[in-house]
Amino acid sequence: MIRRFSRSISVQSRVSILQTIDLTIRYGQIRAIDRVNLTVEDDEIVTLIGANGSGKSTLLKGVLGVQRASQGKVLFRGRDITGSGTDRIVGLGIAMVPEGRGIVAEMSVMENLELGAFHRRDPVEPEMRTVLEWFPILAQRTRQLAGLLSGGEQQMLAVARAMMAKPTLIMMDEPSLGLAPIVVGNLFEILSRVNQQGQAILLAEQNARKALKIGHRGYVFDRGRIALEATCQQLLKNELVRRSYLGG
Amino acid sequence: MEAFIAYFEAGIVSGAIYSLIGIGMNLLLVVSNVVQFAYGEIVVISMYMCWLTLKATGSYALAFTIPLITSMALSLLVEPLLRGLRARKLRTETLVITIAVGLILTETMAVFLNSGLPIAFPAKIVGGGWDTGFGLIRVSAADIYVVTAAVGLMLALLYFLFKTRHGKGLRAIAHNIEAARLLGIPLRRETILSFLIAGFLSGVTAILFVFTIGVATPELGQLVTFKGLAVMMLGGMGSLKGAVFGGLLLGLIECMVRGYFIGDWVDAIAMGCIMIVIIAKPGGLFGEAHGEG
Repeated sequence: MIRRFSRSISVQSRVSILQTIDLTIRYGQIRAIDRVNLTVEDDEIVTLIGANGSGKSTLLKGVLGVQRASQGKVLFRGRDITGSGTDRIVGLGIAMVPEGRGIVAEMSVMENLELGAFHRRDPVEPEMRTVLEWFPILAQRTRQLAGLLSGGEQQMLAVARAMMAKPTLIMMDEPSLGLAPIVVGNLFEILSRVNQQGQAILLAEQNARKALKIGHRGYVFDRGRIALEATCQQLLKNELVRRSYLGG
Repeated sequence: MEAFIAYFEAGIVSGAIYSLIGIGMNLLLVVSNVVQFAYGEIVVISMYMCWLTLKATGSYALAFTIPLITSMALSLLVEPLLRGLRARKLRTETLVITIAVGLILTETMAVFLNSGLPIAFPAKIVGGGWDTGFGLIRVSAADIYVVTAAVGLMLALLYFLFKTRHGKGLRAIAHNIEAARLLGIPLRRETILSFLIAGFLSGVTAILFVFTIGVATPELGQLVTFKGLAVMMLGGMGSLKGAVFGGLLLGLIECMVRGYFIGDWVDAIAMGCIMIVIIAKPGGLFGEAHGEG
């Protein structure tokens, strides 16, 4: 509780890692997200929950510059990155764990990890060591083709690859999708651990219960808008959230 | 046996050049999703530039540098024409553009370069200046240049693609462009790089043609492109390994047919073989699942 209290004070006094201001993205006539205001602070896991197609993925893609904003702004550490190219945004320190993992199946595990650090000019050995230590399953298979890993292992690889970018913020799009429950548990444990090293995480997840359990703050998306914003503990107790996303 | 060895040697030499053409075209296909129909025309216009430079200056150094610059510059000039279409994955439209560029280059050569007359390089260049051997088997300096250049470039390209940062980026784009985009690999810059490499390969191909065939007409470009497509089909669209083996196989088939069959059967039999391969194995010998979309 004390930790949370200090967090809410510090929000006022320093620049958020990520802030969207009235961010709107259209697909043709449809507003996939509509005037979304959201922040991510240092050390935070921010959870986005909401039904399929409610705009969580679109928001992440908008932040990364894959989808163009038709209105509004994205600030990364106070710097306006709206309309910047994805390569530049990744270079500034946002790494993505894409939906469906986005592994390059035809390349080795090691090469996939190296791709995560593509834009970096500084030595990548420290991160490589950390990642291989944290994910022993990957360390055993550095030379194996990534496509031969199991789904859970590929998801670990995607997380490890994002860590290789030495990012300020990691965004994850539905990381638990298609994974066995025990693997999901494992994955979320690792996310917590990554976060405890001071890594900010923005997590879009349909598995609302698990995601809210590891998150600090959460936003509930409903048809492209933010319906609710609160700490994850409050959201877990919220009647609407319980009924709609936690199954009663 | 002696004749067989002679044909085999000739087949390896022309096959090595075919492989280079196939590699260049395949690289553009997998990285940039473009079937470059102007590839052969760029090769031939580079041969023209070589000839013109040699005639104007007499300097070999210049005569072999200018074609490389020409081919890289032309290859880079094609890229912006295709950029918008590639982004929308309109492969048929990019095809039409590259065919049009090829035709424009052909007619430009026919009108402006050497008044459209065929060019022929001096006898002391063609063949590379010396040859050796016994009986039917002749090995010329040009043969050695071709095989050395082809093997050297293939090894260099392998090193680049598998050991360097940009090479790995290119492979990531070739295999999974959406993942590459989300990883922040700069797609435009890497695409330009692929056109630059393909341009360099076509410049080297031009120089090797100067040594081996030593003559060119504006229409030769279409034939070169056609051979490149045949190599891609035979080896597998988008497969670099396929381009190497497809090129060598095509060269060998052609030289064997030229040696053992009377009359002009070369293209008919070579294409017949390719037909059989495609029917039996639609992806080509080393075909992967490229080409959809």
